Amino acid sequence: MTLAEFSTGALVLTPLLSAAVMALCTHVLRRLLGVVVAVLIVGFTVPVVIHLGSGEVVEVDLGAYGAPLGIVLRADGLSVLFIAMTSLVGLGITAFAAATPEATGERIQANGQSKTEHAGFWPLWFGCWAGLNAVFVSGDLFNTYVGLELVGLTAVGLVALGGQKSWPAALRYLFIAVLGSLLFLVAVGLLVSVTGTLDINQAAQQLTDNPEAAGVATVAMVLLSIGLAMKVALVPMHQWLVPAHSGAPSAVSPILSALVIKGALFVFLRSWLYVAAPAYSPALTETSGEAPLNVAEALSIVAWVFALLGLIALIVGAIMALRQTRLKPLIAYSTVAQAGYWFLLLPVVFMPTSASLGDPGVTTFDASEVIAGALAGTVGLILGHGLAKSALFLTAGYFKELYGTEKIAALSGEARSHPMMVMTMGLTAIGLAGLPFSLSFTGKWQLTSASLAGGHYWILPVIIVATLLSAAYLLRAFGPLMMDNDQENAAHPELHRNSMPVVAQVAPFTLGVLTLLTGFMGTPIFDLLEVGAPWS
Amino acid sequence: MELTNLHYVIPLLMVLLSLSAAIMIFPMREGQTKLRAIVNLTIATVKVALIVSLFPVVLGEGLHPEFSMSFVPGIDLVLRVDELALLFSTLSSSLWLLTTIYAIGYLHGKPHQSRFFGFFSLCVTASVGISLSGNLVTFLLFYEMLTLVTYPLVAHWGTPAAVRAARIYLRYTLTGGLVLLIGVVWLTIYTGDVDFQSGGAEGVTELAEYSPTIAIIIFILLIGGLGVKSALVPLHGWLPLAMVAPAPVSALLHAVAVVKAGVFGIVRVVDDVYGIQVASELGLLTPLLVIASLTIIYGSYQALRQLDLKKRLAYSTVSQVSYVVLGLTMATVAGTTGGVVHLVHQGIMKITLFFCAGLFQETTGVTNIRDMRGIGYRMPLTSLAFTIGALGMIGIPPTAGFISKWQLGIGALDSDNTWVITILLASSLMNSMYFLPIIYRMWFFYPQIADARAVAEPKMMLWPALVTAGLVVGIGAGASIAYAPLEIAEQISEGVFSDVDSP
Amino acid sequence: MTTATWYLLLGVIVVTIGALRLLTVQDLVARLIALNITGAGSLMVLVSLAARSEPIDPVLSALVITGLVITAAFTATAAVLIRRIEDTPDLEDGEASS
Repeated sequence: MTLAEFSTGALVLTPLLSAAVMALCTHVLRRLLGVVVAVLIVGFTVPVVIHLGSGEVVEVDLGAYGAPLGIVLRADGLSVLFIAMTSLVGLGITAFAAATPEATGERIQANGQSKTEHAGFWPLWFGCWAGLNAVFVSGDLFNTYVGLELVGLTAVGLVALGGQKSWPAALRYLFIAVLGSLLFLVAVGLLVSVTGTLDINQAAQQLTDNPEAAGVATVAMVLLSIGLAMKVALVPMHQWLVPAHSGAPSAVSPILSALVIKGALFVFLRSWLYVAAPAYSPALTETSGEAPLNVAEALSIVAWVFALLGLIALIVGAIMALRQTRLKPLIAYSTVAQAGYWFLLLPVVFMPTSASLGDPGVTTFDASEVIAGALAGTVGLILGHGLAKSALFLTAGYFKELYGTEKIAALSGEARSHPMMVMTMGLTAIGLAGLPFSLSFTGKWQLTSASLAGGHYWILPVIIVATLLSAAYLLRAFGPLMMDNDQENAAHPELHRNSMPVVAQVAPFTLGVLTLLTGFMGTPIFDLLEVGAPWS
Repeated sequence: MELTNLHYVIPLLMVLLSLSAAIMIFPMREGQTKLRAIVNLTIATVKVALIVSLFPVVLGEGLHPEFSMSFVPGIDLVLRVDELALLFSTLSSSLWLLTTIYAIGYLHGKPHQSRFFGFFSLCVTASVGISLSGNLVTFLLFYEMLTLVTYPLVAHWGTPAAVRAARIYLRYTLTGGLVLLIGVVWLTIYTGDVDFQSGGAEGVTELAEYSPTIAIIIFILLIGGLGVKSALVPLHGWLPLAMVAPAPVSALLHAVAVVKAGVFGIVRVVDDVYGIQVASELGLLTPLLVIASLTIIYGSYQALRQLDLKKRLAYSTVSQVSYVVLGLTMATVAGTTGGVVHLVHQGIMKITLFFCAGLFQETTGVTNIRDMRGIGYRMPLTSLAFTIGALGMIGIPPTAGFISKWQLGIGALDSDNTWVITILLASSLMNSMYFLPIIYRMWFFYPQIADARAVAEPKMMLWPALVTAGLVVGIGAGASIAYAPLEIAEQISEGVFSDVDSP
Repeated sequence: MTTATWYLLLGVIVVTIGALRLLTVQDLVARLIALNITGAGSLMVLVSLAARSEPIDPVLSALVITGLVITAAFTATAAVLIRRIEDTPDLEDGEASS
């Protein structure tokens, strides 16, 4: 077993085992163990990334049964990018939570008093991390399902750590998450019944070889898309997200917004681009076989529907964010808005009609490059969102822990005395609005140019309007915090505690800096995504 | 002389050095004034030295040191020192050094200095990036970055007026940036990477042949986006409002950073993306010439109406900066020379004037022109520097302004649009009308007895103003010596016209 | 139509009924039961899909068993949460209005 293979397995098993061990530890030990394991996970990420950098997929056959029966872990370019983002964000959140145990939740003691600090955070968070990594490296749909469930149940537990007020939100989230999973499960069943395999690559191959499976596959894709879109909180299935993400403890909100919804999103992208696209996208099937045309049409209608919902999400989410008066709901609505970006690529993937460009023959894109570019752009947006959103939620958490409030009006002017947090907010604002040199900007650039090259001109106004709207609500959120309040007789909010540990500042700041540094990674991300992609 | 590895690294080093200054300054405590000054001045000086060290390589040998890295597949980030980049980055690095000194004096004892100088350094980073950009995408990225990092500087005082002005500034420039973005994305789709090449990028020439309409639309988008920062009428609305910024910021905004970045972009688009030949064949130059002429007249007219000194200077910028566009769009060798050289000359003259305006305000509290009677007796050195700057703006020999206007005049006579000469004359007349009364008030009235005492100007603020005033005369008188801006501008202009068929 | 197809149809109907009830009802316990019905329905769909091939598809059967385990897990979690919520009177109103 090579180092890369070992690390791939360890990425799932280490957090899982540590979650079990943590359940038995004392509070202090949990925090210590948490930091150690988080560093270990980052360490395991490195050899996998390096291996992928050499252009080969990592495949681990646990138990050596082989597909379709055995458990196969497979890390391709898409997996490893999500893993890398999760590791970085996870380390930052772990550091924040370990330094600020008050941010991990609220528990009710025997005497009826509530106490801030909940040790349940640690096993739940590492269980969640294990689930995420399992989803990312899973080679088959069954493990994907199990991983998703693990993520869902631990995430519900994490939301519930917020104390009494967050229980209804947690329950509501649970209903949605389970309903989404059930739809996904049925879809998996349908796919298995026509392909006879759970393995993702084999299933894609089977669909390509059996045109008669197309009808069932289309139904499966519809069910699966609805189920996963519920978990990603795509408008109009977004209402559960805001109370859950904004009501959760300070250390939990970034996990939910930056990572948990990315698990379902990953499966969504995996199913559309790695299972359905090779079989049914006219652009990819031209060479490999006959595309059942009516199925391609049916799927492209579904693709358009989801892109349209994405568009609505971008607008509705931004407008709702503009109307918030508290920091965390505003950030949560920004997640609802940003989720819209991640669905815009579907029509591009299914109809990259570069002929309609009327180009002078100097355009450099062919159909598979359009798909690769659109995916690279979308992944850039997703990863950029993960980094920026976690930094932003941690910053909001920082202020909430320090002042005991997250009302924008009450915090007005306070940010000035925390220069590092001001910088972090600035960096995340650039990252979320997608301005240069952030990863989101690079992502938007690739998505837009690939889509335009594919004849999808509508994407340009969409991206521009979305960018302006996001800049507007971010400015609205941060402007008052940075106003000069010194001379007026403004009421300063009372300190909830005397100070915050340095780590609680450094962790979000580092993530904020990463949103910009990764802006220069456009080409490496594109190259990594080509590893194991069906169109490369 | 061969290009060594060091030469390739210098462009990147120029950008990273400014960035490192910001990174070092942000965490400093308010009290660490000395340390901040040392970091600022050391890095600013090293940058000037670096860029000057490239003079013999670029101008003497005609070599263009270049650093590039991949941004997304098919598109590179390129930093390249060609003649125009050299000219502009020398201007910005040296004026930056002076402004830093001025700002240290200006902000002495005022709050939030670390934040100010931090963003100031980020602003330099963006400016240097803009001047060294070797292709359109790199330019765009630094251009947008400049927008973002100047916002906190405009809003620095945190007063409602400042916050409002900063917000309007952001609204204008972000929208402009988006329009530019659309143009760049669109162009990139057709041609791939758009490298800056003297005489026009290859792909763009092909595009213009294939579909003139698309080429024209993209040109309008690019210039429209750039026109916001360069304050082309009617996109100039933010500039007079932005005057609430601290004096060194205004000085920079007008002389080297924001406004200049816009104009510099227009020079790049006209000369190095489309090329004069293609642009004039597409019929794009004459409309731009007309817009520039209108801006010149309108800006001068508005300047005449202002009684607030900084506002008058702001409208004067609106007018003066369009000389650059005017020069370019004449499509003659002398016109382009005049335009490019004015990029430098206007910067030096305008920064002098803004330095002085800040000095007047800080030492005597005078902001209105009416209150400037006899100020020459109270602040003789400042007033002298102001007078030199103003005479330069009018174009009196032997100042730098005279050189620009002379070149532009020759260019106008050579071109098909000889009517432009009347614009130049009218504008010079208006320049005199709004500057001469100030000079007259300064020197030909005695101050009121109550405040007749001479005032001591802060040294840190006075010296930069005197140095730039000296440069206004020095560059004008010494325009023909080697490596003077005029000579470099001529070299650039020859490059631009080397492929153009003579009419 | 084979028996398996009938069961498939039945499963779909059960899923639909459960999901509709889940989305329309406010009472928390009723919602949990609706979710359980949806779960049972989807497992029924899977079983009937498995039964259509000969011999019965082992992969699908494995899916059903996992589904059962997970259904039990979420039912327990939800029940705990519901009990806690209903123990705190002021929260119930909040849930009804949200």
